Amino acid sequence: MKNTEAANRELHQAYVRKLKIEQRWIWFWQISIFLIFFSIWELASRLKWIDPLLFSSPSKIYKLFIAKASDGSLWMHINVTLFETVAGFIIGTFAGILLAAMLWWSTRFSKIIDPYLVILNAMPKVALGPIIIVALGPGYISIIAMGAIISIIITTLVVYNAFQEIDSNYIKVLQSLGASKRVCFKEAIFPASFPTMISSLKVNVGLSWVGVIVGEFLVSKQGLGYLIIYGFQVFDFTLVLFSLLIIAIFAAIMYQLVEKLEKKLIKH
Amino acid sequence: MPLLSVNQVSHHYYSKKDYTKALENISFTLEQGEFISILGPSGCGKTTLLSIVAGLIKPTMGEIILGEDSASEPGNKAHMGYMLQQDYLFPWKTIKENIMLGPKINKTLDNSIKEQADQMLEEVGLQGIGDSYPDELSGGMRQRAALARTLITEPKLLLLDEPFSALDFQTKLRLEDFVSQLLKQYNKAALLVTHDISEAIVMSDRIILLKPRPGEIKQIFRMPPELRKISPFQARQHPSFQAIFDEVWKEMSALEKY
Repeated sequence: MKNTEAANRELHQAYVRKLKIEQRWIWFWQISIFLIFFSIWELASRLKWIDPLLFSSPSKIYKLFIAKASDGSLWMHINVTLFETVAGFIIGTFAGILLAAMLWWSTRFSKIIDPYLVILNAMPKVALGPIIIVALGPGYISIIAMGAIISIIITTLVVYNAFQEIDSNYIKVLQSLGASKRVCFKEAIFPASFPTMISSLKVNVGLSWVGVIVGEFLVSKQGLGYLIIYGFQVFDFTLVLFSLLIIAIFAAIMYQLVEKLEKKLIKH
Repeated sequence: MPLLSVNQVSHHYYSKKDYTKALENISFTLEQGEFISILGPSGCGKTTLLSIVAGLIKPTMGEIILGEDSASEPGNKAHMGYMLQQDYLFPWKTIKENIMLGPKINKTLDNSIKEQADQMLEEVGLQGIGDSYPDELSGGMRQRAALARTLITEPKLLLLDEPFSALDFQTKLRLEDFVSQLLKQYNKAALLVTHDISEAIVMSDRIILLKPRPGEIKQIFRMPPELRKISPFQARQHPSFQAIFDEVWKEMSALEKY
């Protein structure tokens, strides 16, 4: 039996409809979980199932949001933290990639530096916080340094690993065409490692937030980390949870931007 | 003066504990327009030999003389085109960008090269797909694009490292014919590494049989002129093909008995 063109179209339409329905179910559950979580939180807080002083409630957080947004202080805090995080994230990632390129360039250098990298990687970087603050002063430079230092070593290791994993035959092709080491790096090693670099960008988004928030805990007079530590000191947990939600939202936005960048850069 | 002379080349691979002889005292010459196959079981150092000829590895002993100059001098690599088992087209470059890689590296990229790349695409039967990416092409098309990338640098000598082995049988036969015809047309010399006896017979003027561990020349077969005049596909059906095949087969199996 031979299907007509119209019948085949019909089958395809049915397939597309099925995909759409599936997608709607996924959205439905995602939104449901969101609503259920916040409703239960609100309810639990009002009925005193949980201590409202410690766990606050969505409505209180929303009121705080309106207050902070209208007096403008919220935007100032977000701006500060966002600037520090983005700066730390970019510096950390690029310095990591640069260091990985240096390791690739000189095998001897990479062998010499290897044990130091292993130690630096294993060490909890936030523990360097006090030293960084003493060295760079209690300002935003220290906080950016915290955001950068937390991601630099792991980026180096991951990207260097990707550099080494490239099929050596690509290098052979380039060398047989007369390419120098620099050209091999530019034409093969670097572009082939793009996917790894993007995935380390994704990891670094999260890491930089950790570095910056811890940095703000330690020194700052402003920023979302400062709001958290201030809220903790004055026992205002609405403020703590409020800051946490803002951080979650902006971390998610940054992650989405990196994903957009990934789609743009990696087509083939 | 032959196009290529390989003079008493030996190569060792070193490890901490010991050294392995990969090649031992290899000598042969290759004339302009000649096609030589290097045939041997795995582990006989075929690919090592090709890398040495290409100047990618420096031999432990001996020398390679290309025309008048030594191949180990930098800058002479452009005289040779290297083709590997797989196409190794760069997946993030379009076909045309891949083909123009050689001129780009040698900084001779200009509009005439771009036209030449279009001609080259037509030559290998890939006209109109210059803007596609490698993953949109079939295996045979990709290998033809790789061939175009090799030919655009106008090499005097083509080094072929089992370039047909990863293809399906039909594509392989077609591509053998195509490469053979192209080489004859431009009177280019080629050195093919393979473990496929029939491929060696139908493509070459001479077959160098290597023995493994260490790689040494066991025997050199000269192919009869009647096979050279016809295409590889026709040569496979020629009456004298089977006798040569049996002879080479016997010698090659004798090498692999251990």
